[in-house]
Amino acid sequence: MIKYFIPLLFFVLLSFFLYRGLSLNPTFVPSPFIGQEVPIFSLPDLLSENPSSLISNESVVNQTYLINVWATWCVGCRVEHGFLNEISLSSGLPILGLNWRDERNEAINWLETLGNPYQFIAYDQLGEVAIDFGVYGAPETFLVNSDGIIIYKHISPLTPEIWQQEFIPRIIESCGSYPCASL
Amino acid sequence: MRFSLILVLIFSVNLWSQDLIQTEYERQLFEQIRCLVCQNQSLADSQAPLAIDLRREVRELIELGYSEEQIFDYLTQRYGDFVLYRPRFNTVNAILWLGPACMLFIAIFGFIRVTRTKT
Amino acid sequence: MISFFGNLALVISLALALVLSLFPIVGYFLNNEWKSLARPLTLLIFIAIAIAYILLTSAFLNDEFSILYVASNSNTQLPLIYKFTAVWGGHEGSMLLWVLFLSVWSVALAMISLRHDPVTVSLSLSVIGFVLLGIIGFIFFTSNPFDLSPRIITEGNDLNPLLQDPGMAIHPPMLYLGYVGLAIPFAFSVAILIQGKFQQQQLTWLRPWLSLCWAFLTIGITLGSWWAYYELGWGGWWFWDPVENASFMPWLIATALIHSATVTESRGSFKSWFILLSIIGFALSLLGTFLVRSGVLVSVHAFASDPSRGLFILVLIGLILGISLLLFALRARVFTSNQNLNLLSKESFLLANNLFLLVASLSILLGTIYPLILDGMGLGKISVGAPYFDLIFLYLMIPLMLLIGLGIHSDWIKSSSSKFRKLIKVAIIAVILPTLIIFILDLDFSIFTLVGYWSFLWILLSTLVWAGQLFFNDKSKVAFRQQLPMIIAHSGLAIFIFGVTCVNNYSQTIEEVVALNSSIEFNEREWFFGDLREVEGPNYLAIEAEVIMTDANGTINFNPQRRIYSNQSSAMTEASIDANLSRDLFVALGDPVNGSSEWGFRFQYRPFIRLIWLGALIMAIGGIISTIMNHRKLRLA
Repeated sequence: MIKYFIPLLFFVLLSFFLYRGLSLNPTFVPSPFIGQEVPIFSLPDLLSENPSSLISNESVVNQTYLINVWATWCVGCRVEHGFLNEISLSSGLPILGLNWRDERNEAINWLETLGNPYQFIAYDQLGEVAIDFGVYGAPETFLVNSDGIIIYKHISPLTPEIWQQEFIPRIIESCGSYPCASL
Repeated sequence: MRFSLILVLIFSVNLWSQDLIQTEYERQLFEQIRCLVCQNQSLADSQAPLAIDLRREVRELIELGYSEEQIFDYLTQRYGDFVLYRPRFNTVNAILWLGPACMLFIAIFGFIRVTRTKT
Repeated sequence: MISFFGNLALVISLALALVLSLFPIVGYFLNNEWKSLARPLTLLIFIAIAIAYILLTSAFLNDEFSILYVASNSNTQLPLIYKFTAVWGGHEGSMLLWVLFLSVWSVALAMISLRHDPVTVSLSLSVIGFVLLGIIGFIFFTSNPFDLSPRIITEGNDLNPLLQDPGMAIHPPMLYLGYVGLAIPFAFSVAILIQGKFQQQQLTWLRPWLSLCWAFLTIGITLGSWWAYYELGWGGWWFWDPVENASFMPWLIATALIHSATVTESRGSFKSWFILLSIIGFALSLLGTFLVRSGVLVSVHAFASDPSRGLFILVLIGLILGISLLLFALRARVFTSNQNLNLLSKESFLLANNLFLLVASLSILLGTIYPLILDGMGLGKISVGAPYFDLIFLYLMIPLMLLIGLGIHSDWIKSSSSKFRKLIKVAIIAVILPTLIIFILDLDFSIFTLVGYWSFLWILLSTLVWAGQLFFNDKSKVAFRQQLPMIIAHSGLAIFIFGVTCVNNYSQTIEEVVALNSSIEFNEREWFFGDLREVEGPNYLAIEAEVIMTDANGTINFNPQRRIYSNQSSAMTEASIDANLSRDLFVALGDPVNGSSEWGFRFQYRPFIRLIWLGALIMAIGGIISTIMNHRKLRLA
């Protein structure tokens, strides 16, 4: 009778899901921000002595741009920094840096030594804005289109492969071309 | 080596004195939230920097009068449903929440059929 | 050298397992003497694997870092005892332990039960041979502990500090013994399906195996819970972590199996149900192995995960279970009986027990893999944690607790309702007494608190009343002695429930910053932070705090530590615990504030927490006594 086949069918179904599970990454947290507007924020400018000089989500408008979350204590940020320097010149995109829970002077020194790929740098000393962006592990890089919508987020150091596969196609969609002509 | 131990501990956490769990309500709330860095610990136990920040955020929200649901909404808006240990009840999770009850009914149904005395 | 011989031993055992999985089965169908190859092959396989295991152990003892696994899990400073336990500290070595234990069980089966039922046991050994083939193959090809290090390594990595602990020494072996022990009922059931014959007397020799592997699983899980409690520093005893669930699900099914075997042995009914449960039990064991090692789930236990290994195990599981379940689908109908089943019969109660345990087990499975299912379908990522499992499991267990008290008193075929009317008095006491005590002591409570204490007393009293009846109504005390294991096990369960209810409802926890040479008050006791000093261990450096607790009964010293092991970068916490049966006092050291004159502490009061593990151990003792008693009965018969 059919009922004796039920355990077998159940097991086949289970195996299917387990098989699918092998190609997934269980610790990866997908961002709920894809397709959403950039969260509203306003932070001090890292490079400015003037406390009323602020960087916000209004600092870059009507352009495709990147937001890169970084810190001097973050090993992966050090790894990707060289590549960031490159694309800041070659991609035609402004990069807004979000300095996460860092020490101001150390951050400034770091950039002076290693180069500054950022057009703007917001200083998030307490990490409150990072939480608003759903950041959980630096480095993280957001791609924002000219309407201010986050269209992609990448976690872990940027590499040429990732840039090629995930960012460039989306930049072309948003910008019309690569390098982007917005600057 | 001897000095470095104390140094590691001193610099690892700066805000400890304000970070302690003050009330049972806080503890129970934190226990329902996953730490995203040490993903096996709840917000009540994790000492990761992000956990400390999140605890501070949640405390501020409590002060502002946010309800438990509103706090969970705040967190899921930023991190998705993954951050909550208690899955929400919506269409996607319906099977999860109703599954055990369904299985129980099927089992009871089967049991009744078997215990019906046959002539 | 060790590597070469270790691999040789593995290859030999692999070849032997291939022969074992084929020849006795073929011998059965051709009805020739190949059947009798089962026992010698089983023994030879054991010798080969034991040699491999001993070689690996000697590599650890000799700091043989040319072997990559040794270098990854040990170092020269590691204390000797932990060099022994480090053998199973990582994925490859623990799989070798797994297969060693499976081999041990198979040898025991061959030596002890072959004479009682030669055909079935030979076939069972053949089935186990098939499993051995798969697992040894998995080890040899994808997880080989004898792989060589790519370059010269002079000092190893060290064993994970969390694992450098006596509890770690016994928890995995106990757990694995239980896990792989479920292979025996599984192999038995497949052998039965192959033969198409199942006599209820066969369960007489199988039952001691069931209760023994159940006892080991119980002990293994209990040790894991106890170890997590004092080692992880958070004071919790169960987290519904996927790997904990992976061990708990087989335990629930093993429990169901023991009860199901009683029915089938006594009444000859529910044979196909027993067979199905046996397959499910081992399936969950294998599944648990898969979940822990494939990187599919987030877990505090997860071994270095590797999807390619996961695929191998999945295919292996697919073959083993697919074939068995197909056999079941095709052959099980032979065993259906059309016996009437009265609602108030013992069979009925035991069947109900099985149903609740099975539904509970499947619900835990659902919760554990649901995130995986959703993620795989692209429906987002969720977490299913303690809030879900606590709720679902609790609601499923409440009716079962009620049934246990009734079922113990039931009779086979049909119970008289007067029996149950007597139990009404017991029920009334079970409900009134705790409620009264809670009101008199003016304690906080919720409905769950009450239900917990009611369940505890209901099961305990019902069991003791039954024990009393057996003891005093029977001159020869035969029935009493025969049911003694059951009485002990259910009493253990009641004690366990009591412990859980107390801990869940009356624990206290606070976190405070305490300045050196000052004290705080907690749990109506005074806690004085008197001293801070450095302590050197064999492979770690620690800061130790001295906390002196004073209360109405005197003083107790606590020495919580923060430790840094030689090649870790973060500090671990070693809690200081004062334990007795009525409560645990738990002090953990946090981080310093403002220099090192003030420190954060976590204090916990855990009432009757030891009863959780004591209750579980008593259950296991019941299982062991059952095994010994039933085995003696067999030998004398």
